[in-house]
Amino acid sequence: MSTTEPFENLQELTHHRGTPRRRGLLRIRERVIRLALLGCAVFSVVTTAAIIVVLANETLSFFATNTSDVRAGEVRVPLDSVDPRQAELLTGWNLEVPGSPGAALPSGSFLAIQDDRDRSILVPVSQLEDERTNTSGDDPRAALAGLLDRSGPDGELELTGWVEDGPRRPEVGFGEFITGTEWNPLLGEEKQFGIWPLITGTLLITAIAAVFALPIGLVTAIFLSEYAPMRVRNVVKPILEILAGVPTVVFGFFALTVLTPGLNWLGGVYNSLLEGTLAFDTYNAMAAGLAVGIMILPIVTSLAEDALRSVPKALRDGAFALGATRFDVSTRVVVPAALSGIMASFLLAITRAVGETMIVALAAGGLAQMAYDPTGPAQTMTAYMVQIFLGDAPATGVEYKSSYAVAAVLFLMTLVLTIAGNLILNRFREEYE
Amino acid sequence: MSAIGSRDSLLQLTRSGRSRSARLREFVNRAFFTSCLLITSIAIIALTVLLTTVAVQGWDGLSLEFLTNFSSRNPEAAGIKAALWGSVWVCGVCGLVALPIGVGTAIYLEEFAGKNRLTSFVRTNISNLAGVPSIVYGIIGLTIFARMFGLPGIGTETEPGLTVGSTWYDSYYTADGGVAFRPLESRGAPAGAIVDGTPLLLVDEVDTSVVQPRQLPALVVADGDRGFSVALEEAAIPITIGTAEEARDRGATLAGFVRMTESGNPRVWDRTTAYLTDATLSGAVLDQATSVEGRWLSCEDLAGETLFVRVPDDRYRIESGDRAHRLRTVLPRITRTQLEATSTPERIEVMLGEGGRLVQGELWNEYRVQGRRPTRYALVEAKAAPAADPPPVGGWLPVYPRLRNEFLETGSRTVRASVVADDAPIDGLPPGAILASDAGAPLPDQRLERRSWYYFQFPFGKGVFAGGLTLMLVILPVVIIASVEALRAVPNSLRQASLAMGATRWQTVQKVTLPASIPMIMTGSILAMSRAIGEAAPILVLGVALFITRTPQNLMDQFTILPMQIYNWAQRPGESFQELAAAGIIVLLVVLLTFNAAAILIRQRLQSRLES
Repeated sequence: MSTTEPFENLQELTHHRGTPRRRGLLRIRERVIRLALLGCAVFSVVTTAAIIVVLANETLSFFATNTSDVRAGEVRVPLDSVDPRQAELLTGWNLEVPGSPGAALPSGSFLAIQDDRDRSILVPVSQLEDERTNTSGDDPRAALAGLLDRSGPDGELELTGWVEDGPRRPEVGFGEFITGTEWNPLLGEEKQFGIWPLITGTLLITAIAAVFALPIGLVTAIFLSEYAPMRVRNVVKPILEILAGVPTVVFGFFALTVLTPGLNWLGGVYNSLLEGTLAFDTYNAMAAGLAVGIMILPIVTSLAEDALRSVPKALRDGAFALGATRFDVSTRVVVPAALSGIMASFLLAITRAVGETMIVALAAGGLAQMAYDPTGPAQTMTAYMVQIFLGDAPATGVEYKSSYAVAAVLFLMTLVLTIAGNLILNRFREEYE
Repeated sequence: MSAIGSRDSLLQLTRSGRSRSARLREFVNRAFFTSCLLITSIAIIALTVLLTTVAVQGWDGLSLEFLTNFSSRNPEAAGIKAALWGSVWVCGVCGLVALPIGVGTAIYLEEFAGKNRLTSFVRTNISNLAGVPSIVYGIIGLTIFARMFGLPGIGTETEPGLTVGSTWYDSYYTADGGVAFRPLESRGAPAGAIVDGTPLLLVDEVDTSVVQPRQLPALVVADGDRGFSVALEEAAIPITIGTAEEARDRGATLAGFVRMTESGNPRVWDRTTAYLTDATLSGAVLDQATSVEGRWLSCEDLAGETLFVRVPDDRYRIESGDRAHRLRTVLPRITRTQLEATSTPERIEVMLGEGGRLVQGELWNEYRVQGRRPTRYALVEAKAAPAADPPPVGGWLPVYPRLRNEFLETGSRTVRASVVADDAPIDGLPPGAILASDAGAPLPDQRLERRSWYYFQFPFGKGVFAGGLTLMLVILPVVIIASVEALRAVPNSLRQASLAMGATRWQTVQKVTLPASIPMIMTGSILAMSRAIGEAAPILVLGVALFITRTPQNLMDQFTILPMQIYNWAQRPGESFQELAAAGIIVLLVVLLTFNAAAILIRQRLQSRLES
């Protein structure tokens, strides 16, 4: 493909007047293509809609999960003692035996049946699955009635269920989720779903990354745009591009095998000099945060450099003419003028840090706590999702659904940051274009 | 801060010039330059340390075997073949979908769309999508592509509503503990009676590590100049036992035919008489049937009919378990000590039960230890070496069909099976017939699925296709943004000239703008693809298995990708796995650097021409 081609094609087009029929065909083709391209463009809107629908739907079902305490042990209910009309259908339920959390009880839909001793017995709907397909109805109560009809008056068929013990209640309240400070969905006596430990974990990692990357990135950008001779630029720019292209899982490995031992070594030096007790865990927030910082460094640098470079040359020349040094020009003229672009670059980089997954999954450990201790483990929202989706929780339970709620929070956080970053970026673009 | 603010600071400068000495300012400037150099070198140092560590740790692990071996629990033998091929498949799907849609969107936005609210909404939307963490895309991929929202009526990942290109088999226990397979028309086909002429194949337990050629009992049916030909079991199907149902229908009260067991549990009937016939059970035949007195095991077959299996006289213990197991344990359990020496051949009766029909034959059995698990070989009666001294017609002979390995999907896992090779069929066994599976434990009453290369299902499940589409979501905004920038870089004069000559918009795109911007689009696309290659989080959320020892065979197949494999190794404790991770990273980085180099090359070659 050569440069001359577009021009040759232009000339070619002039010969293509064609007959009216041909022109009609062209018009139809044009419409079809336009429609197809519009479809492509709509796809990204559909993607956004899908993200919102999926996250909202699953999050709602997370909050709609209910729970009921049951006594340990299954009970059998003879079918003939059951009145299907009085059975109550409960969907999206978890059962719990007080005192023995995590006992293998089913979750999902239940029929609450009154037995002859007036106890409420929760029968998993799955027991009626065969009958449901027979009666071709979706209502398990109809299936129960069908089963009764077929078993006859002296039927020996039984259902197994759990005796309900105590009031029914929602598993996780929205208030508890959004204000709670204990996140403990998988282990322990009582499951707790308070998102704040995950948020603070995320913020801790992000803060470490930002403190590391933002100043360094800005200074590097200033250097590249204001100071660096062409030869240095030609070396540094490709290196930053390579750094930007390194997959995040590699940074995770780097944090685990280099940064953590390195930090411990530094800690050892510090301890021997000042008799401190600084020690980093095998999985710690500091190493993960630094690795995230290295990861976002090229993003800050390239976006900030773009912002700095788009400052009109006249401003710089004016400053130089007034006798300013390069340092004065950079810090007093160029950086203030490009401030909105720099802020946007910071915001977009922070967004990446908040959403970063593989580094924290590998190097930050899995302890959700509100400790703010960089030497200890921390769990971010993304790392929790990895833990769940790698199979630590059954795919139907409330723990599994909680990852969708966490994802929704993460999505909202990053969306706000991105929108803010893009707004600032667009404003600053208009300023100089 | 606006431009006015900058002018203010210009004014300030003039004042500060008076207050501070020029020397001091020059010093500050120098100091800042030096610190700039130092700080800039942090990025370079980080990259250098990273690359050095990876190179030092991973260099020893790099070898040809590392590329051609599958992952293994033994670090010495582990490789990245599955991950490499998985990456190729997934990124292929990703690129094939993302690039056309991405470039199409860019063309629409830049060349067709008017300046209205919708357009600016789409633009904002795309730049916001670029900021969505990739793990969120993984969740979308899992919910939509792999599961299709779990909508009712369309099936699930493991039992999809729509499949194309798969063959189904039913597996059964046979009376002697082997597994028999029977091809089915569809997944939902009822497990019915066997049709005459359908090969019912006998499969024994095979060691999981090696699938070896199986010795099959074969009947010598002809002996000619070019050797002898064999048939499998052909002449050994003399006996049919009627079903209890049929007996009851006739109103007959015959000893040995008992009423159907309601629960399907096998029961033992001691000293009962069964009527053996060589035809289907009609009234006349039943009257003429031979009666055999003995100990019988009644059980239900898959079609719900009651079968009777003769229990050899010397076996009295029947163990509990599922119904197949009870049948199995009619035969003695084999222990290792018994097997140290080749045991004395033992005569037992073998029955293949299927659809109310019992096939009885007599085989000599010999037990051998192969690997860790006892393996039963059915041997022929005639022990003479086949080549030197072929047995007389009617005798039994071992045959060794050529086998190849195939992978079969069960509902929950994949098993390796030995299949008769295409070029080495033997009588009674068509090519493709399954002879052995390495499922470890046999598969009671399971349906097996053999998937062809064009296998397709809906919902897509956690396969290559869903993985590719998920990555497509991740890189789509990147592709769009790069393509939009590329199209913007084309001078507007070219467009206007083309339109002025009467070209339509699409002709303009096709002949003018697209050719001019293709180098930049390609560069952007390559960089986006290298992002896709390195992306692990969305695939991880999709829930692909971490330990996979095969390459994908079709678009719906299980897979792992290189970054996932690296993650898998890196998270394990132990030096050797860290080295494996480092070696994997080297491969990944080499691939990525190649991509980046290609992008740079294309940019320089094609772009410079356009600018000149």
